[in-house]
Amino acid sequence: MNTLAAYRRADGQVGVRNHLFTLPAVVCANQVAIDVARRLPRLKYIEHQHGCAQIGADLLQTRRVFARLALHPNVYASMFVSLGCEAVVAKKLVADTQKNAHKPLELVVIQDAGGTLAAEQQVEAWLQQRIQEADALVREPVAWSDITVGVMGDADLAGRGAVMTSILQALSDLGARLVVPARHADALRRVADDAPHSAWGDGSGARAWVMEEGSNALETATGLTAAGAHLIVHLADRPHGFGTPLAPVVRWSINEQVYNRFYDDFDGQLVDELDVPRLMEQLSRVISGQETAAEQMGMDDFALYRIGPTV
Amino acid sequence: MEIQAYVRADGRVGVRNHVLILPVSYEVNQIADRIVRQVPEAVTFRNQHGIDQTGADLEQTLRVYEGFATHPNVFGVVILGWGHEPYDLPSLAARAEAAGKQVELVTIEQVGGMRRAIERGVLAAQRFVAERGKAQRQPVPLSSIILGTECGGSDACSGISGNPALGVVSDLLVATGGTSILSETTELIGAEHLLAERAVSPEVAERILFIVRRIEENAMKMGVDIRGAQPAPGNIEGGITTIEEKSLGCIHKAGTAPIREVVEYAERPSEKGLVIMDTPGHDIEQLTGMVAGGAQIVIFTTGRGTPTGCPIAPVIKVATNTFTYQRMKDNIDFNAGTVIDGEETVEQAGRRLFQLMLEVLNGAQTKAEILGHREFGIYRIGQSL
Repeated sequence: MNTLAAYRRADGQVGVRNHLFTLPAVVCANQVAIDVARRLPRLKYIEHQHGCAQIGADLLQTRRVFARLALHPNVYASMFVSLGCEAVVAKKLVADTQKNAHKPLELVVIQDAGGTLAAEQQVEAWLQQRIQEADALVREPVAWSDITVGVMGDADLAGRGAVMTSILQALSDLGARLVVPARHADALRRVADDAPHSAWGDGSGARAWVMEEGSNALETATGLTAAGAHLIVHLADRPHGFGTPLAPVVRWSINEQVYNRFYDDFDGQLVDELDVPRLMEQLSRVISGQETAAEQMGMDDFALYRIGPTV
Repeated sequence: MEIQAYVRADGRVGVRNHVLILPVSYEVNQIADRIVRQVPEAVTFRNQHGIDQTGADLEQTLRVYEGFATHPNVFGVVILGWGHEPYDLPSLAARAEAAGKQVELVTIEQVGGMRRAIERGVLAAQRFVAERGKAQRQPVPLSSIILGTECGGSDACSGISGNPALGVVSDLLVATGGTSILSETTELIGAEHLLAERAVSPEVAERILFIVRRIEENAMKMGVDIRGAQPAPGNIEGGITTIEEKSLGCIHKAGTAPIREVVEYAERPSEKGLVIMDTPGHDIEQLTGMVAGGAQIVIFTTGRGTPTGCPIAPVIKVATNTFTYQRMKDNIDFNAGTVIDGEETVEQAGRRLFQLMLEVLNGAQTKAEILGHREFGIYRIGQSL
């Protein structure tokens, strides 16, 4: 339990993965990320339908989450791809993001590059360099206090709230930072009574905080990642087909029948509090590099919580 | 005038013969992705919706699913579900079957997990790919075509070259009895009075004014004047000064025909001729809505250059200026910059574009199809918008 191994970054961040990340700043740039990732399977990316025709608080939230994902501790280097219509915005986003970071960051603009294929060449050339740098890094011992764990559950956990509290208590005792969606605020405050509240996908200076959740489980998982979770514990009463590209999702079933039927979609089964130490052991292995079921299956996905209409 | 196309069992006409893997919620995106990696002849898209939706927002999303599952450009469809979506998947499958599609419904819940869902989906997709040769192109009247018109990344040339040329295509199609869709309500702002004058009835005129008012009010609810998002930064860089100027250029796409009907997002027009669909200005949400509403082909004018396409419909990209055409040749099918350069009149460029549309309807591949562009996005009117 004391031997966590992870990547230490130049700015003091600790990463449990060493990802290269490509982030389309707008839906029109998705294909560049998709195509490059087919050729470089090592590459993590998101695909989404946003970044255009957004206004007000909704636009600000989107930009904040894109910037936070690009700077995620599990990421070694991030590439933004923009189309160009929105380039003024993307250039500012990258410049602002750069101010807060020591991570390699780059922007490729499709219209400036001369189209999908030319943009892909630029993205790929930059990433090839970064892959070599990233692969030169090795894991070093880190402490639980370096790690932020996001914890989420399906619905209200069907009366299994006590298990949630036990997990949060165990993680808190180890020294981990915690972030949970609003539905588990009560459980978290039994462990950390002063836990503050953040917007969806936002971080906090506190050791434990409550995040506004998305409108569905994938938006919530995306938000926990953007908030800074190194990994996410998902207590599920149903099988799920999603993970996140940047933060490993450790999914344990809280329903025995569901587990028996879909066991290979889960990382484990939680019957009662006695299983919590087993979960903690698995988390330490995942932090140190063991792949979760969602990672093995490559179930990387992303959904943005929108708080305003497309115009 | 005739084209060569596929006649489906429900009488609708398709210009492509796709096998579509349709993920109805984000829970099955990656399963869809794994299936098309094993069966690259099939098409799919990434869906971030379909769970925890309610009311009119859910209805609109379901309209998009039904529009895609029953689309005449689709030969067969694998409907992929989680099994806990809040709607009736067998009924969606039944409607696709009624439209003459080969259909397989696969849910994670029913088949027992992700791995088996992938296996089942691959088998069905392979079967449909093997069988789709049974459908053959045959002569059909051009009047069976619904054209979606679109402009994105507009510049100061859009209203002078690309959009009026597309307007010529729209008028030619309408004259043969076909249907043309004008959409992106945001970009009708400031031009709605001109469109209302072209409505075939006072009811249609009132409806045009209503959808423009509605989108402005929705933006105001966010405490934002829509002029904050429109024109977009790239439009301004391209020489467009106001949303009214952008709109006046935008409506040239629709030619000069009378406006027969206003339909909701992803709703199928009941009239032939020129119709308006209420969509946002967002290129991809607009494209998805028009195709779900039955458009078999889209013509998309762009000043700044855009690479985007649709998983199930050909999208012809038209540059409004020669610089953009040259710079993004990999992505753009047609140069209307000839009008700006003084080499062609709008009418000539429009007739040339009409010919290209006929070739694409008959099977010629667009740049977006060749590159595999498959953008998709549903316009949401509830949380998460």
